This record gives sequence, structure tokens and C-alpha cells, in this order.
Amino acid sequence: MTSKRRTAVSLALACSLALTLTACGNSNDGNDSKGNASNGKTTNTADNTAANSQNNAASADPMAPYKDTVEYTTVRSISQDPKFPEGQSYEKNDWQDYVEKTLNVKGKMLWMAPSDGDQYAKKLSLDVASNHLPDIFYIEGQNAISMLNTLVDSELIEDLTPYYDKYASQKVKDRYSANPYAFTTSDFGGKRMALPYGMEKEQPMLVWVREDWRKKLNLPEPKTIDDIRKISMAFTTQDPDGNKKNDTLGLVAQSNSMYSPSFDLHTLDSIYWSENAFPATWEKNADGKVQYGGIQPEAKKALGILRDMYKEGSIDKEYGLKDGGKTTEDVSSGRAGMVFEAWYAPYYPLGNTINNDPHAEWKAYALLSEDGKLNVGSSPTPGGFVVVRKGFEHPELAIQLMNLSTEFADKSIPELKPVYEKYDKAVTVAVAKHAQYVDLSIADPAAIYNQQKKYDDILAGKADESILLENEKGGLDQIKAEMKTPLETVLAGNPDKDTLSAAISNHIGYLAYMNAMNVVTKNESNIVVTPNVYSGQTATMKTKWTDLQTLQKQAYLKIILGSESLDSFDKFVNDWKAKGGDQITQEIQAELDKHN
Amino acid sequence: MLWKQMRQSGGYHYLLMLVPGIALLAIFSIVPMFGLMMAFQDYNPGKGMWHSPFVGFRNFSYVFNNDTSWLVLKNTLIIAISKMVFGMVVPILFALLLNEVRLMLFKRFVQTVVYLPHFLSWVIIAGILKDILSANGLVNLFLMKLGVHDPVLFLGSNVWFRPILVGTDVWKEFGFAAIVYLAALTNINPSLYEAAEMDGATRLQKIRYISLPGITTTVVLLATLSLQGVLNAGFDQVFNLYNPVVQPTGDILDTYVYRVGFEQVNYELATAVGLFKSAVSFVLIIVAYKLASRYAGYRIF
Repeated sequence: MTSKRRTAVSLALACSLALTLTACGNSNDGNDSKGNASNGKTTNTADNTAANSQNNAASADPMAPYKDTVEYTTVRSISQDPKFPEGQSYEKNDWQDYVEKTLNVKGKMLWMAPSDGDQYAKKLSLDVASNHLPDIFYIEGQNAISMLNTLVDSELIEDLTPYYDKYASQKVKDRYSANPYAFTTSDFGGKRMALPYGMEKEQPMLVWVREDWRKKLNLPEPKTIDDIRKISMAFTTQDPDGNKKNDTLGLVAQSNSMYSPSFDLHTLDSIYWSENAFPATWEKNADGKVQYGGIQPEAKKALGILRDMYKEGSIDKEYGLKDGGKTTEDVSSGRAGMVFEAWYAPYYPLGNTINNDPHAEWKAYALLSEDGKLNVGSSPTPGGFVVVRKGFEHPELAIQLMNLSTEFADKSIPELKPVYEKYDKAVTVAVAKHAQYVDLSIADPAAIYNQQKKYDDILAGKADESILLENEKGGLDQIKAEMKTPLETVLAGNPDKDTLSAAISNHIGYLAYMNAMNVVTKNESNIVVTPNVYSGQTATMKTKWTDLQTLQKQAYLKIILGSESLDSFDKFVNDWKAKGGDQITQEIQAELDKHN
Repeated sequence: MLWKQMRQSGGYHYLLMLVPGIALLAIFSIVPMFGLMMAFQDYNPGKGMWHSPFVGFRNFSYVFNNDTSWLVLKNTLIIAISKMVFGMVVPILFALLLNEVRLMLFKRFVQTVVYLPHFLSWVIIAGILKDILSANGLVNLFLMKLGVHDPVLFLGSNVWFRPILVGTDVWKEFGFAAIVYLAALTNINPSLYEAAEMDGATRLQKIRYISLPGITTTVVLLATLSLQGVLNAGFDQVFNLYNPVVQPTGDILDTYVYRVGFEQVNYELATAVGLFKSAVSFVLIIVAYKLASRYAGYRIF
């Protein structure tokens, strides 16, 4: 008898274990509340609408605090080395405190992932697969568009249209309306399912060159691709750092993302673009029909150049093995002499080079096409989207947080002045400068252009500082500090650690504005944007696009690395068309015709 | 029989020892099987597994009509089978050789040193390998000294990538795998060796006629067990060493599933590929088991 009972107990134990697990497995079912501590109870849409309308009635002011503390969960991508002031972090900082106090909310960060590589996007994808969504989150990275489409198709996110209309501050609305493309990717049949962010006026890629090396080797300033090739070769072979070791690289680029639909770090975009090739863009041809930039003859021509460059050694031998993290490492450690990046490069990661070796100098140049254009092929895809989980009781919170972030970025909240100063002093990396859980300031798309013009006017004595907005003053201060005592002078004077890091920070700001942004504004009339006319996902794309992208990437890589002839490009084009490319092109054309 | 014996001796409590095993199996193998449903669905994370619409074999027809799937399967088989073969041969040879060492202290030392890599994660090893094998890494510096002009990009070469996968995997695991064989070797009756010695057998002959036959059962058992992982070419390892250049030879089922599933947000296709993998594994296990029972007389039941 006893033994029988024991068996029963053991069986029961095993069964109950199995059952609990099955039950856990089932929690995917419907709207899950487990992963979202803030709810406490399962919600349904009817309840939400009621709660919202109440709230709406109570507060018409977009910035008014909630009566009862609202809790929300979120996740975010972070910079690897944000350099926060003492005692602050992404999870605990003055900005977040201000947000929570002002709106009477309580945020909970479920997890964080580095913004380098696609780590954030991959981690988020896991959350989506298991339907454990945070209340408010961003979608970013290479799969942002397909992720947004999946979320909309699966009815996992809220339609933000009414909340945007009601809660977005005037400033935010104005800035969105300054950009004609703002909502092309995020509006679904009149519903505003997501709010895009990070949409600046087109930013050309610049050629960044280690100026100290270039001068040492007596090389001319780069104007054409040939100059770039020569400089890169010299950097690789002639020991520009003078340590008698063959340990320097010329042009470094990543191949994980070979050409960017948005702004990926250190791609070869400048070369493609200067040849009028836009390998990741759906462009319109002369007849107004849509065509894929990746299969055009211009792409073949650009590949021919890249292939020669790789062969002669003016592209890093290990090009095929590197991702953005690795090139960042090359640049930061001072091994690399040339890289393609937009005007903000001094903030990340070129500034690392200077931090590691204050005698390192970077300078930006523009690479124009033969007919004198400064081509840009990536606008207007947004950097990412903010979305709200379906069933979250306060979708408007996302918009309120956006309003606040925008004020933070504008430095227009007087109360926070000491915090700005604290962060400036800590030489915080730009992306963590106003860190809060949901950090999405909306900038005037042309803000950076306008700011540069103001700086130029002020420095030329044509205007005084009163024309500057609060958030534009810091940059000018850095420029003026650098002009008064340049980094060189500071270095000569055997400075202490704080003085040096302040001087480096000023120097970085000076580089970004007076060098890089000036190159951009000087070339403004030359800038030609080839916009991506379609960024949705058609039916065929859903199953075939991954393979077509792989096909393209492989074909390009083989040509550049020399394992296939340049003419294999034609075979690739045929393959691409046959394996669904043609059909996708037609579907996109149909889609575009529908809207016109 | 067993049942009757147990009832007679009142040994039901031994069954309790099954509980952890069954629990583990339930947690990691049986419950997740429900997820396979996704392979037949147009999966919608919002509706979840239980409410997404079924689409029959649509996902599978896509998988089978797709060049990449076959390429990936080929890569997986080549890599996994090479790993299995070398992963068997090297530890056996190592165990046989170490068994001949008479100096206990040395034997212990070697054994400890070679099984340590087993405890390192691929993330760490991959980081070290990338540095060692890079254009100006140790290996290339050495080759240059020998007069090779161009550095070899080992991890970016479709010729070298698979041998590196296999080689590093064997290096990492052979010490650990040899433990079992060493244990089996100690079970061989020493009088056999003594008798062989009397008959004038050499060391090699003793290995050939006594040691090897003595561990055959263990070898067959482990070979059969290892077949269950025939399509596990090692996600951790490949994922950490991988780059776009070696996709034609290095992309395996697991990395493909990962790419399709998490980077392209196409869960149902990823599941279909995963199920396909399981089905192939299942067939291979049965075949291997039949072979083992025919040629080595090994049977579980």
C-alpha cells in the first residue's frame, strides 16, 4: 500500500509539473498581462476607451500630470559608453526623475540592449514572438519596417491617431509637418499606427580622413575617388603613425550592412552614391516607373571600382569580415585612417580616437559625383518608430513623453538648466544627453542646417547670439572655446585630466560643426536626394525579400572580393528578377499607382 | 520481468528516480512541441498560437521550393558529420595514447589541461579566434615569417571556414569526450594485457587486440547517441564566427532559422524549417539505430 501511494505521489508530481508548464506555455494566449506588470489585470479595449475618454475630459493640457500615478513598462537601446555624470545611469537619472514627477508616472525598464549592431532589434523580436510586449517601445534597426508591418498586421499596437491629434504639443506637430515624408511609412490606411523619429533633412555621407597622417605623408586633400584610393593605399603601406610597424589601415568599412537603407555606421555608401548608384533604394526611373537601385548599371560600375580598390588594397583586406562594431573598434583604437560617416561622426565614434590619442586629427571632405552632385540616397526613412502596445490604458503617454523629450532636447525648460550643465560637464555622449526611459525628441528636420547658418553668421559678425535657441548655445560655446584655446595649445601646456577632457569635448564639437556641417552647408546647393519611394512590405516580399537581399549581398561581396567576375553582376540581375524581384517591383508599382 | 521483480522486492520507490528525468523531458522537450503548430499557421503574435489561422503546408512548400534551404541543409550535414567523425576519432586516439602513459602525475596533468576548454563559452573562444586568425593575428604573423606573402583570411575563406569550425570544435571537446573512453579502458581486465605480454605482443598489438575491442560497445553507444545531434552543427559556434562572406559554406539550419525568425520577423517559416530539421533528425536516428544493432549488436530494447 505504501509503495502504491508513493507511486501515485510521484506521478502526480510529474503531472502537475507538466501541467504548470503547459499553462505557462499558454499564457501567450490573447492579451498577456504577465509581462506587463503595470496592468495588474487583463484589459480589454472597451475598458481602455472608457478610461481614456475620462482622462481626456479631465485634462486638455497635453502636459498635465495624471491624477493617479500611471505605471508603464518599456525597453530601450543604449550607448555602450554613455559617460553619465557621477551616480547617474540610463535607469536612474535627473531627466527620468523630472519626467516621473511632472507627469506623475512611474516607468519600468524591462531590459536594455546596446544600440550597436542589431542587438536591440533582435531582442525585441523575441518579445514580439512571445507576445510579451512592453507598454511603450521603439522599433529600430534593419528590420524596423518589417517589424512595424508585423505588429500592425497582428493588431498588437494601438492606433495613435486620436491621441496624436489631441496630445502632441504644437512644437511637435509643427516639426512633423515640416517634413513632407514624415508619416509615409507609419500611416496605415489613415491610421497613425506609429510615430517616426530621427528624421532629419537629408544628410550626406562625408569622407573622414586622419588629417595628421595625411599631412605627414604629404598627400593632397581628397576630391575624387582616385584621391581616396591613393590616400588609403598610402595609409595602409607607408606607416603613417610612424611606429615602424605595418599596423595601420586606410579606408575601413563594414560588410554586415553593405549599403544602407538608413544610416548604418561605416558603409561604403559614399562610393556608390558618387557613382549615382543607390543599392538599397526603390527609385523612380526616367519614365516615372519604380525600379530597384541594386540592379541598375550604375551599381555595376560602383562595384567595379570597389573591386579594383579591394584588389589594390585601398579597402581594408578584412572588409568582408567586419561589422559596425569592429570598424568602430578600428577607428577608436586609432588603427584606421579613413571612414565614411555623416556630420555627427566626431561625437561617435571618431571622438574616441581623439580621447585615446589627443594628437589625432580628423577632417571631413565631401565626395562629389563626376557631374558635381553630392548625392544622398537614404532619406526619408526614419531612424525608428515609437509604438504603443494594444491594450495599454494610456496610449497618450507616449506622445506626452515625446513632447517632454523634445523640450529636453531644445533645452527649453529653465528648471533643468543645472542638469544640462552637469551633463555637459560629464562629456556625456550625445545619445545619452537627455536620457529617459522613452527618449524621442522630434527635431525640426532642417534644425542642424539652420543652426549651422546661424553659427556662421555670428562668427562672421553678421548677427549676434540672440538669434540662437537655447539648445543651440552649447555648440557655439564649444566652437568659441576651441577657437580661443585650441586643443593643440592645451596639449602643449601639459594639462590636467579635467582640462584636457573639456578641451577634447570642445574640439569634437568644433569638428562636427565648423568642419563637417560646414562642408555640408557649403555643398547644400549640390545636394541631390534620391528618395526611397517605397518602404512597405508587399505580399511577395514577405516570403521572398530575405532571400533576395541575401542574393544581392552575396553577389556584391563576391564581386568586390574578387571571387566572381564583374560580369557576374548580369547573372545576379537575372536571378534577382526571376526569383521574385520582378514580381515585387510590379506589386510596388501597383501599390504606388493606387495612391496617385 | 523487471516490473515483476520490482513488485516482489517492493522497489517502487526506485521509480521516483525517474521524476527529474521526466520533468526535464517535459520542460525542455515535450511542452515546446506545441509550438510546432506555428509551422502550419499564418502565425500572428497578437492572436497567439491557439488562435492563429491554419494554412496547411504552405510554409513547408515555401521552404522546399527555396534554394537557400537546400544549401543550408547541405552545409549543416557536412559540418555536423565532420564534427561527429572527428569528434569520435580524436578522443579515442587520445584516450588510447594516454592510457599507455605510465607516469600518473603526467597523465592527470594532461587530462586536466585538455578538458578545460570544454568549460569556455563560444563567445569567448570566438573572440580569441577572431584575433588569432585575423590578417595581422598570430597565425598570419607566423605564416609571414615562413615566407607567405599575403595574409590568409581564415574566417573569411570558404575553403577554411568549415575546417576551422570542425577543428576548433574538436579542440574544445576532445578532452572532455576522452573521459568516457578512459573510464572504459580502466574496465578492461589487466590479466588480458599480462597474458598478451607473455605471448610477446607489442604495445600496438595490445591496443589493436585488447584495448580497442574492449571499448567497442562504448564507442558504438556514443556514436549512436551522437546521431541525435546530427543536424546540430553548433549554433553558438557558427553564430559567433560567422560573417557574410562565408555564408555559402557556413550558414547552417540554426543560423538560418534565427535569421528568418528574428531578423526578418517571419516566425512561422522559422518554425517550419525547425520542424523539417527535427523530421530529418528523426529519420537519421532510426537509421543509425538499425545500423548499430546490425553491425555492433547494440540494442536498447
